Amino acid sequence: MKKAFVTIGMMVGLAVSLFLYDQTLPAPTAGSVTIVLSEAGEPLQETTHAFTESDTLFSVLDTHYDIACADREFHPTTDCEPLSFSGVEGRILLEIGPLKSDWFTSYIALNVNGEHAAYGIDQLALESGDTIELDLVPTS
Amino acid sequence: MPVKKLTLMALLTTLLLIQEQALSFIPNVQFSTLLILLFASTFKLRDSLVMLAVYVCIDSLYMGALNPFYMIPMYLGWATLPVLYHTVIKPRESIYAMATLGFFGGFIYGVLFMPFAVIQTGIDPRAYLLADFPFQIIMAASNFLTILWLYAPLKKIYGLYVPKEATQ
Repeated sequence: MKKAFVTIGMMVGLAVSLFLYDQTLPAPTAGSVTIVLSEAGEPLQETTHAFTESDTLFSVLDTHYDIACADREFHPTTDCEPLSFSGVEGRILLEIGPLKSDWFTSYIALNVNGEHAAYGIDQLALESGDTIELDLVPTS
Repeated sequence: MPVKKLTLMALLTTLLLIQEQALSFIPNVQFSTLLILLFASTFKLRDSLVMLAVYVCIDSLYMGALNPFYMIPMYLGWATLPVLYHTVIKPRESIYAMATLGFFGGFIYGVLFMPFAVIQTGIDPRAYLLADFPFQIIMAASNFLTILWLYAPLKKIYGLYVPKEATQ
C-alpha cells in the first residue's frame, strides 16, 4: 500500500515537474516582423514583433493589438471567428488599434514589403524581416 | 578468477546490454539502473566496475563509435551506482534507499554528460541542462519506480540462478 502511494506521488511529481518545465520554456522565436498601421498611406504606428513557427499574422495581431473582424453580416466583432470563403477559412480585419473600417466605405489593405499581399491574415506566410503594412483605405 | 564467475559476469553484462537496446525506443526508460544495483548487491565493487567497463565499450561500439566524449561520462554515470551502493546503501539495504539512489542516479548520469558536451560542441551549459532536464527526470522516475517495484522480486529470482558464493 505504501509503495502504491509512493508510486502515485512519484507519477504526480513527474507530471507536475514536466508541466512546470514546459511553462518555463520560452516559445522558440522564428523571427520578427514590423507591423505598420497607416491611414491612406500615412504611417501612424510602427512596431516590431517576434513570432514563432506556429504563429500566423492573425495570431500576432491578436496578441499585440485590439482587433475586430467581420462577422457573417460584415459587422465588426471581437470574437474573430474564421469564416469560410469559397471553402477557404479566414478572417476579414475590420478594426486594429486606431484603424476602423466599416467595410462599405473603407477597408484595411494588407501590404507586404510595399506590395499588395496575395494572401489574407490567416494564410500569409510570415517571413522574418518583413514589413507588413495595414493601411486603412477609403473605397472610392 | 573462477571460470564460473567470469561466465556469470559476461552473461549478466550481455543481459544489461540487451535490455537497454530492447528498450531504446523509449528515451531514458530502461532497467539498467535496476540491474546494475542488483549485480552490485552480489558482486564486489571491482567486479561491478569491470562489468560496467565492458558494457560501456560494447554499447559504444554497437551505437557506432568509441567516442570518449560519450564513453567517459557514461562510465562515470553508471559507475556511480555500484560505488554509492557499496559505500552508502549496503550497510542497511533498504528498498527505499535504493530507489532514492536510482532517482538521483538519473540526474547524476545526465549532469555528467554536460561538461563533455560543452567541450565537444561549445554549447551553453545552461541550455544543455535545460534541454536535458525532461530526460533526466524521466530517467530518475523510471529508475525509482522500477527499483521500488521490481528489485525485491527480481532479487529472489536472481538468487536462484546466481548464488552469492559464485560471485565472490
